[in-house]
Amino acid sequence: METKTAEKSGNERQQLWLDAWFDPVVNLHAFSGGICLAQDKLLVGDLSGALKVFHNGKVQASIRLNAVPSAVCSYAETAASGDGPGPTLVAVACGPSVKIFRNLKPYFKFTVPAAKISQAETDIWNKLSSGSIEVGRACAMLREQSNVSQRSLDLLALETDPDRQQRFLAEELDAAALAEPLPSCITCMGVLPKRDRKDESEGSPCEGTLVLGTESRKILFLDAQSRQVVKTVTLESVPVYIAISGSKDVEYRVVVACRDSRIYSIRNGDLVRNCIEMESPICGGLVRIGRDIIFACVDKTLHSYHVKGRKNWSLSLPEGITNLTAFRCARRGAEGCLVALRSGEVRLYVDKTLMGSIAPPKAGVSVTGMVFGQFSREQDALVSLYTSGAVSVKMLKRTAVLDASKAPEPGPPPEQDIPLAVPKKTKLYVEQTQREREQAVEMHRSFQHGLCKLRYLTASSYLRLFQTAGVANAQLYTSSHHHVGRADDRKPRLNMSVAVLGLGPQFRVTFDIENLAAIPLRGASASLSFDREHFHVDAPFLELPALIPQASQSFHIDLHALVPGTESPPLQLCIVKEPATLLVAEVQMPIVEV
Amino acid sequence: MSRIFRRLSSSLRSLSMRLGKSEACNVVVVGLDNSGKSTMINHLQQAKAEDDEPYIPEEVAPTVGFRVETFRRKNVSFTAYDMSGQGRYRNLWAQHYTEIHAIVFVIDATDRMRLCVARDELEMVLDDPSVRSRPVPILFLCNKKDCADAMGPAECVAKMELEKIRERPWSIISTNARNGDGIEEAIEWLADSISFDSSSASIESKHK
Repeated sequence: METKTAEKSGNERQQLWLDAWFDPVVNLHAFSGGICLAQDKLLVGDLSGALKVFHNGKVQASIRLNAVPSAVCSYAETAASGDGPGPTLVAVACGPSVKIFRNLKPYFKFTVPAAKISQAETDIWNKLSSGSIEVGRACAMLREQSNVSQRSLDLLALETDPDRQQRFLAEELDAAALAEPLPSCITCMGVLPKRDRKDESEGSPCEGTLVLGTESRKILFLDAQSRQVVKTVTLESVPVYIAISGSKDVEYRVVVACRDSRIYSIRNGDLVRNCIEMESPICGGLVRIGRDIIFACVDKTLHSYHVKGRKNWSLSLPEGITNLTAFRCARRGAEGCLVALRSGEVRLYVDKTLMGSIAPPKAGVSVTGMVFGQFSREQDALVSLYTSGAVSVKMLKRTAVLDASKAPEPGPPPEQDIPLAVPKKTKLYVEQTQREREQAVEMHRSFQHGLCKLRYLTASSYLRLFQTAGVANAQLYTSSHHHVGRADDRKPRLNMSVAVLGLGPQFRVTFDIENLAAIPLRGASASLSFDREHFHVDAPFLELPALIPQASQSFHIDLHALVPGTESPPLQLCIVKEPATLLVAEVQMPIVEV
Repeated sequence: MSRIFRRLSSSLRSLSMRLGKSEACNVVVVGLDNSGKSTMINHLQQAKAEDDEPYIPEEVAPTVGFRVETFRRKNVSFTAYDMSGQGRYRNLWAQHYTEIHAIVFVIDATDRMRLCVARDELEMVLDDPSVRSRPVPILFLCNKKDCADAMGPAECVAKMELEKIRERPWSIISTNARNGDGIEEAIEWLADSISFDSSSASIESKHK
């Protein structure tokens, strides 16, 4: 029964999504902010500097932007008469300006007003233009400033590339250009809806106004026509991700993740004093689900906080998180987030319960950007772009079960409860265990007795081997065994065994010397005296190293028999320590057969 | 064997037609939203097959739940359950499967993006116990053929994997529900392939 349910849940996991469109060679590169779903169109602010519009799996338009887009949003124009939403607008943030398109034609361009430059910074630039200080020095001075303008940021960003920095300086050091401050770049953009949406399923874009985050650490609220800034909120750091909830007419909250690993929130245009501060930088995105904020950190963790700052939960994931997007399935009442991992896997979490995952199209490819929402009359579509430039559109199956309570419990897999196929107990087995239980002491004793006998046998065999080894040596080779036993312990005492190896004409005389005295013996040497008519020896004299007490050391002398087939006189091996001869061994050579 | 049977039944039907008798059959019309189900039914109702006077279609609002419409073709009186194709009403489709003689599945030939959804829904239709147990014919309408980038029937068959359907008669016909292109042909096929006796018998046995 349990195995069946496990299989069933496994199948459901596989069939959570339907493959609507996959194009591996569409060559789209964009981050989550640069992807926008507008009714049946997919808008992508491609990093090549173009706004690409896809319809029904085909490129409908490609609009050159002359800058790299940082964010793309779509919303309805606020109608002048006030009845019903106007035509759909597409806002593309590139560099310091927002380009607004109406019916995919350029309509209006809003540029962020440039901030006033501080006196200190102006001085540095003036010095730089007059040539009184070098570029490197100027950079160092600019870095010390707490808040610098876009021009200084650009200069500092080019520090690793001196050629480009010089070119940049050549352009910017014009006196006319210096007088006019550069506007700061837009880092993120969102749409603040004008009024609460009554029916989410309508799918038509809502009227709204743009909210911009800039490199100058500001959040700018634009008016309905995007002509001017209505409100400016200054933050401690540069905003990176923005999530907007509520509506302008009723109540709204803008949650902003910044580069200083903090999350600030702006309520009805006022910065809320308390912020969420993380230990590691926030990456991937920021998601607002109901009253909760979900975000990821670079330390492979996913966090959920209540909007007021109380922590709900955090999850540790096996890999780094590249992207995060909100998952809202109104029809099933399921809300959560989609998390893309470094391996390319996309996981669906509904309130910290893993509901399913999507495998990457091929190994080594990860998600660069993804967006979930209504696309082409389908409420629940997921658009993801991969590092390979591929695009994938998936649609949630209508029958997908997304109930977090019905999901399999985290922890041990259900397979663990399946009993192992243990064979049945035989009569023999039962008898044996019975015997073991009743006669345990006897069995142990008999085992110990056997073990003891075995050890005794081993030891006695070992000893016998020692005793017979000497005999065997003497029998196999012509060998002599000498003992020099002297009562005086200070005198050197040696034990030597000699053996002759080989069948001739090459022989090797090996001898093991053991120092029996308590002190090491230094400066001893071995010399072999032999009949020159019968043998030739290259090195008959061997200087011995220090002979350590109670240790046997082995040496050898090679000799070559000159006369085959005859018996040769015995050799004499002497161990000499000047001025005395310590030991002499007589070695009988075998008859050379070869 | 079955071919002989079918020929016999069709000859019987032509006999009954000559006698002026009409037969009733129930058809369920399913498909995704915006595929043209209601437009097609409207066309069948309004335009008479014999009339030359053109029928101008009106704008159709999305169906809520379902509606029941009747029309007559080839001496067969059809009762069509025009089901809503919207996601939230698609679970209503299954309610009518027990009392039908045929299924009409309308495909939007221009919506390549949602063809996977249509395929998924079709799988669910064919997997329903009351459909699986009876070989009711299924007619696919590859609608909106007048549109520029519409898929042809062959492409639809390949992408929907229709060739896998072996246990029941099926056909795919390219249509334009707005001006009625191909619809009469489709209904003719439907009238010919419905086997009244066997399916009605099975329905009766089911009701008992």
